[in-house]
Amino acid sequence: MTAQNPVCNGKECTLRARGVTKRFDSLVVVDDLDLDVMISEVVVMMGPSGSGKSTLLRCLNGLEWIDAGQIDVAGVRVNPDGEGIHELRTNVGLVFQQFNLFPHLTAIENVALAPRVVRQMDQGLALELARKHLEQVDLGNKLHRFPAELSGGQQQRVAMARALAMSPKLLLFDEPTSALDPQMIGEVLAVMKDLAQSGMTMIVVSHEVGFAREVADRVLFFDDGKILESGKPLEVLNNSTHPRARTFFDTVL
Amino acid sequence: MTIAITVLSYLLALLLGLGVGLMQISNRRLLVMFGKGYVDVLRGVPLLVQIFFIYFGLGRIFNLDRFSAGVIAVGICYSAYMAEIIRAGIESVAHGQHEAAASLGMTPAQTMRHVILPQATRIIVPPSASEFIACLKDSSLVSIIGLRELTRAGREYYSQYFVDFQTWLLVGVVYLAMTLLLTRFTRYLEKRFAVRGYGTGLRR
Ligand SMILES: Nc1ncnc2c1ncn2[C@@H]1O[C@H](COP(=O)(O)OP(=O)(O)OP(=O)(O)O)[C@@H](O)[C@H]1O
Ligand SMILES: [Mg+2]
Repeated sequence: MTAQNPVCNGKECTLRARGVTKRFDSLVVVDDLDLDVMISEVVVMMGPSGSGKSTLLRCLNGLEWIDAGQIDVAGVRVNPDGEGIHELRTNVGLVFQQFNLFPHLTAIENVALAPRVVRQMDQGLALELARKHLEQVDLGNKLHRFPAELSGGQQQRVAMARALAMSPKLLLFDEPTSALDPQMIGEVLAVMKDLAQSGMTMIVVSHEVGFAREVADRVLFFDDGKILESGKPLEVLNNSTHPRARTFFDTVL
Repeated sequence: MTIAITVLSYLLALLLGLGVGLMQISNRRLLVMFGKGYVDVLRGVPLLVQIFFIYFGLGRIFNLDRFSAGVIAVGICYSAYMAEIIRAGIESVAHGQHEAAASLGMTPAQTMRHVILPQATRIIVPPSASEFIACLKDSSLVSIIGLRELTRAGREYYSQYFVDFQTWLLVGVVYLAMTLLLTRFTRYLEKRFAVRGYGTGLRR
């Protein structure tokens, strides 16, 4: 199967999700959701706590099985039967709020592991690739540090390099800076901005309004498992019409 | 002989323990039930009874010699303890580690091998080493089926020369020497396996 991108509104795109639904027992967390993300588009998603943002990202990355709908990314289609879910994971990267680095491996080993094990890349090549991505996130001088020897901001950048090393078609971020001390948030956002400018397609769950204004092509307001608003950052942030979005942005801004 | 029995039965215990430990955390109900049953039964029956059972029961059927029967009996008995230690070690690894590995496209087996087990080892090694020492001492029980290990040798020596106190003192001292040596080795292992990046002795 060749990696053929899905088509959204007649144009080639990175992600096409249709009717995606996720339930935990009777609780509907993602509700019949449609989402298109264009190539190199940067989407920032905001919404109240418990609205299902993390769950949506986990569905898009294949960590959760969906109960209905379909997800298309780069020639991989995932249905509720779970087929293709493994390929989805290798094509879509996820950066966690808590980093989740492998504590027993150094930075460079953290990044090289998946290319070596999943892509069956030769050890030397995998390490070379890992070095390249660590340099990309400005950690070329911390290659052989263990996670516990790095600051939170540095750990999160290693986590980004680790996701990048799998050459994802789409990179998802789940509140990447909300576990960080304020002085470290900037360095992580700066790397994300670089990535966006280099053409990476990204969906970022974050309440960093400055980042949304400056970097996002589109901002989504998500609540109760649905996308209630979608549009240019300034329109959504300042001129939302939906009352729940209005209340939310009034408290965030 | 004591050393051979201990080492071989411990290796057997380690292998079986790993298998049964993994069964207990699998998502197949049947495997989990089997694993839990295995551990409960073996831990609930005295080793001496297991040795008799294996030697006179299975030994007759499969024509096992004393040595194999002894090794198998001790190995199986200890595998139950090892399974518990290994299961606890694996479960101690944070859930986010499974997720991170899965999100990178690693299969459950790859995750276990490259991410979970290396971290679990740090938890598993110290109690495993004490099990090894217990195993060494318990290997004395196989003298009952006529294996000439240290305890048995002591008994034979005693019945030949009738010097009971000295004989048992000597046997005790030899056991003690072996276990003390092992205890030292255990300490070394604990240091060796205190995985860097977990807080102790870090450069920072
Ligand atoms: N594995 C699970 N089992 C059962 N319920 C779950 C599970 N994961 C999430 N939920 C529930 O789904 C809902 C949405 O959770 P989710 O973590 O996706 O929200 P969120 O928008 O990311 O919130 P936050 O901003 O707090 O991170 C919550 O009510 C949560 O309790
Ligand atoms: Mg969340």
